[in-house]
Amino acid sequence: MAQALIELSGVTKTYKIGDETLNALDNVSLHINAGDFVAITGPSGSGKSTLANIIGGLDTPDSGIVTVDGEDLSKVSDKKLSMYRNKHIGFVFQSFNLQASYNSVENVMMPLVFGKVGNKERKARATDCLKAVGLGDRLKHLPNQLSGGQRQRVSIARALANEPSIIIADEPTGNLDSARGEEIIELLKNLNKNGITLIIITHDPNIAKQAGRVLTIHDGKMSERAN
Amino acid sequence: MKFFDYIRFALKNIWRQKLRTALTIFAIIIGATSVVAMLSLVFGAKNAILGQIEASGALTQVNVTSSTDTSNSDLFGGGGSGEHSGKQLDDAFAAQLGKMTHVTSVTPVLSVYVFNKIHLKDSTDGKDYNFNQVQSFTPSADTDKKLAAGRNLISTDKEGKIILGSKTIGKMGITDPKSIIGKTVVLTTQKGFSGEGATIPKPPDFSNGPQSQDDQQAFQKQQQDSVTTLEAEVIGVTEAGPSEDTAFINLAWGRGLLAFQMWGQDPAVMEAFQKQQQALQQQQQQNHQPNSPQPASQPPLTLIKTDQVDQNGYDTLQLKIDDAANVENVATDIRKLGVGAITAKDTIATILNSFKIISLVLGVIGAISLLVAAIGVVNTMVMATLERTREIGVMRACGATRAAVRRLFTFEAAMLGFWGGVLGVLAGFGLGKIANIFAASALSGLGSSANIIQVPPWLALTVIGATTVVGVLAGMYPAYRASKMNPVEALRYD
Repeated sequence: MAQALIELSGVTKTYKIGDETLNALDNVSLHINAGDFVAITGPSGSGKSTLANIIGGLDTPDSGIVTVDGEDLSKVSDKKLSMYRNKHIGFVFQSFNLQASYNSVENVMMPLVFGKVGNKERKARATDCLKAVGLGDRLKHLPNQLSGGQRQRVSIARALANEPSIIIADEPTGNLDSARGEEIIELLKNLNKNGITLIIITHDPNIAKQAGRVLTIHDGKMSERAN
Repeated sequence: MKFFDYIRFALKNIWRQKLRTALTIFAIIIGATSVVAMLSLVFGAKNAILGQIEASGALTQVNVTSSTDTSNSDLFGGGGSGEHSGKQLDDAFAAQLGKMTHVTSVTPVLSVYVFNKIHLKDSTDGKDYNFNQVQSFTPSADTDKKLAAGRNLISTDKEGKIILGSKTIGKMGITDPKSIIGKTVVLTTQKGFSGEGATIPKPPDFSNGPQSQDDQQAFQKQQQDSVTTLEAEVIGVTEAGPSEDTAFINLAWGRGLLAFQMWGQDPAVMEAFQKQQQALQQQQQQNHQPNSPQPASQPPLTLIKTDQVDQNGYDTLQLKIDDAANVENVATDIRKLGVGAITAKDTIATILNSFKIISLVLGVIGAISLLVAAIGVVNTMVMATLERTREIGVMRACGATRAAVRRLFTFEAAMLGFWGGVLGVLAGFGLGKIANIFAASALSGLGSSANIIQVPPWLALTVIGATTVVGVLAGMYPAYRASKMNPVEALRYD
């Protein structure tokens, strides 16, 4: 067994919605190895996004320990957590979350700006990433000049820009037709083959089927089955 | 994020909402423009006035007054309060002052307060203009005024020559000072004028019996109401400045105008008359002619003239000092003699003080308008953080720290302030230029300096700095809000 990249032990997260307390994660423990392809499934509101956000350093658990690459994320400063997101994580969102007034290159450059990469290198790396996702001819296009599939490719290029070790994709095909969805999943799978740890949150059993591991969350409780 | 990235992103972001940004900046422009325009007007006016004081030679001048209370006097008002509570400023005292070290000349000055109205002799509109400030002095090189046209007084200009102030001719509707040189003006005195040139009505002859009450009253009224019109040739017009409403004449004439004349019994005549009476009576007694006609009970009246200077001395002695640095020392020495000494220092202090107050008031108005603009910036930035909530989430997901988000929004607000300041200063500068053109055309005839409004570089930089700081302060709260957003919720925000 390869060395665990991501290690969660006893992670609990609750939300208060009105008077009700929602157990988004209830004592979840797991480890993910470098290079794994993990699918997280479960019904809406089951806590799968919370799990992904905690792994991605966007959210912190109420209790429990999250360790990524040997570093405990549950107690670090905002600056360290932000740097972790910047260097290790690439996020891909269902609704792409591209900046409408920025062209493809500028959108992809975003993590590089926060990573204090020089201006020239930013452009070069953003261009390379866009070429890698097959958008070498769409560098100066604004998001509204691109199709849905192309937009998600820009979003993936942005996730790749800082050469992260982990990509977290939250319903990446949710806003695409099945053919475009297939292409995106293929693209992500290729990245995984090149060594990037891939975590996909999905409803789609067809996508879950392709993952090496499938984690199912139900009312904050996690269960796992291997494909 | 690097420093230039913040500027680059801030610029790009504020330009996204063009109309809103333009309106927000416009509010700051109004504030900055008003501050620049008002303060530069104040500075320009202050410099112009101080420059005129310097040019008028006032910096090497000491005015000596008989009254030691000089709090209400300045170098340009003539100092003639009429209260001669102290030492009399006569020719002997003037000679004494003239012997002091550093004093190069002493010029006696008399305020001639006998006039009331003025008009051009050949004018056809029939209007008379208010005219009362006249100074008289013995002309010399030290008394020369800065002239817009014509020439200064010389010692041979005894009577009937006058230099008018630029403001005075302005009131008379004359725009070109050259046009009035050589013309004759008609000066109307105040009622009851009895100086040289006046026709003093002779009291009714009551040697032939007692006069009636009515006659006496009529005579008194005639005397009180009598006005005299005098003519004078305009030989010069002064420049705009501290004494722009004062006319100047030769002391010899001024002294004559101030003289007091009345019909009365000259003591010499009276004595002769009484002797004559006694002789007559003796003769009558010797001749035993009791029924001969009675002699006149009064001698004939003569016009008796009293010189004001002989009585009260001069109003002011104007001293020229060899160097401006010695002025205060000389003034101190003179005050020890029991008289008042006024220097430009007091006048300048008064001017600077009044400008300080004006600047303060205008500064407060500017500060209020900037405060209103700041509220606009807060509003704009709060709107921006709400609109861009999702974007903030994405930035955070991409590795932006809370501090980076906060700084980015602070820079945007600072940018609004900065551009508002830059454009406001330019607008204020432009307004100043336009105002200068108007001022130049309005004052050209008076030979005044045209650069009334000046925008000193430090003022421009201070205003730009101030609006930028206002932007930063106004952006702090919205930026703090943005930085405190939960990234997970921000990404879910619609």
